[in-house]
Amino acid sequence: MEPAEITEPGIVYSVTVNYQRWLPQLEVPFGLVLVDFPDHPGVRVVGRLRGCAPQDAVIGMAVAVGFEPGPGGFFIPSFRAIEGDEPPAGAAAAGGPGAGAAGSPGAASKAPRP
Amino acid sequence: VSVTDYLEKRVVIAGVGQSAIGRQVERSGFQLTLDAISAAVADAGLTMDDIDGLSMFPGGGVASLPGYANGNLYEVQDALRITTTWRQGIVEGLSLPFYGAAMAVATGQARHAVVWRTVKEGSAARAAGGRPAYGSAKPAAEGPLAWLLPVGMLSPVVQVAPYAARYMHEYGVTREQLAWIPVTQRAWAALNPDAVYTKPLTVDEYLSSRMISSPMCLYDCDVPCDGSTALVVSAAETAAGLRAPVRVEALAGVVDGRPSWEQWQDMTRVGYATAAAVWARTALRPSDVDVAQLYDGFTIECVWWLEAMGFCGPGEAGAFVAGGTRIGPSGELPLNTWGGQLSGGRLHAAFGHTAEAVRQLRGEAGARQVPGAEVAAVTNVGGYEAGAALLTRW
Repeated sequence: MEPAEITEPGIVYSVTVNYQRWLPQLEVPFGLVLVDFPDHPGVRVVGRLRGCAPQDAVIGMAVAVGFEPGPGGFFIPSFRAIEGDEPPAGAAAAGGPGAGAAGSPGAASKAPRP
Repeated sequence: VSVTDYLEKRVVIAGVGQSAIGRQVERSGFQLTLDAISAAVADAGLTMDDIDGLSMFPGGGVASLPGYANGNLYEVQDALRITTTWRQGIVEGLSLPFYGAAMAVATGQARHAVVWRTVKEGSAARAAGGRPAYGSAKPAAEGPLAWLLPVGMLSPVVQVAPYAARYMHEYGVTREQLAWIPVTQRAWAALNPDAVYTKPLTVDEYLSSRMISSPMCLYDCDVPCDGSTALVVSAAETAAGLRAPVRVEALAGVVDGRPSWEQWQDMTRVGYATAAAVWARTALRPSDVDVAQLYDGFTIECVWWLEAMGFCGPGEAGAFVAGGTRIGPSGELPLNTWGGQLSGGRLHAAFGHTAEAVRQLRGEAGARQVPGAEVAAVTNVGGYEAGAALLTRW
């Protein structure tokens, strides 16, 4: 298996806004999104959300791929809300039935790390 | 294979025992463990010399995470001065903590096996300055957590919150409905002298409590505590010599899909494969269950189990629990009658749930006794790892 590069926008599968200061230096609140990529079934990436207030993030919204500086000098996934985006039709139904219906075996095809 | 031939039919839960339980208990993890084991063996009507199997959950590399206080299995055996023909420190295969012990007893590796779980997470959180100890002591993220910790998914709360968000989004279930799980369990806890929190909780208090990771608020999270629970798992053929055994009717734990919190494909459906497996091993049906002890590390985990086990349909849990009537005293499905981990304390891995199921089936649950309880459902965790059991009155 090899890493695959994904540049097109993703769709927010789910979202949470974290309010708890788990570590002393942690700035809160912040939005976290779980992003699926319609052309890459089975790929889901968790990242920070920027470009809108975290409370305004909604399931089904489109986000652009990006990164931001993270702990330890590494870059972490950071998705940018695409302004004026309306959730695409059918986005709410994304994610097939059956808890056991696993995604593709391409588990290594996550977004590349810088 | 007939359902009557499954190995778990050869097994009973003979004893349950617990140490003192509280936010902070001034005894070491080792002392708590021995308190619970001693109580469980006595509760079974056995003596320590009868015990020939030991199992602790978890074992292996995660046994010594901050707040995990099982200690060393050999040290415990030495303290008990017993001989074991079977031992296990369970990490993987945890589906239910007594699964390994049940299989050992059913296959003759041991006659009476003790399995225990000891936590000092209440004290660990205090020692960490009030912050949860989980994960924060790790110098660097590795393995699956490398995808989660650097972006700020620093706690299981944050990892599970997207499941709740997706579920509520798809089914239109509201916080006002789900509040009734912690609210009703608090009412049960008031009837349990060993519960950590017993003061009544209202829906308004739930709705106005601080958000931890949306949509999950403070009262959606279980309570870190100090305490130990031990179970004695015995061969059914020894039942005549036991004080009050309880039958193990069915056990199952299936890991299907991708074993990952964030990669789980359909976050509205969790535990279904395990539930299907457990119902396939019995002639009992969901309507036969008199009392349910469903894992509640978070409120949403209870929701998963209510639906996966078939107590209500997919997306129906909000309506099912709203008002608390069905899941409260004299309801059709009394739920987490010890207060659950949300009020009773995070004894973890369904140890508190199993102990309560055994008490209910014996008619020894005191003020919270469900009259005539004959069948109890117990579930553990939820997520890619999920275990379920049905226990029945002897």
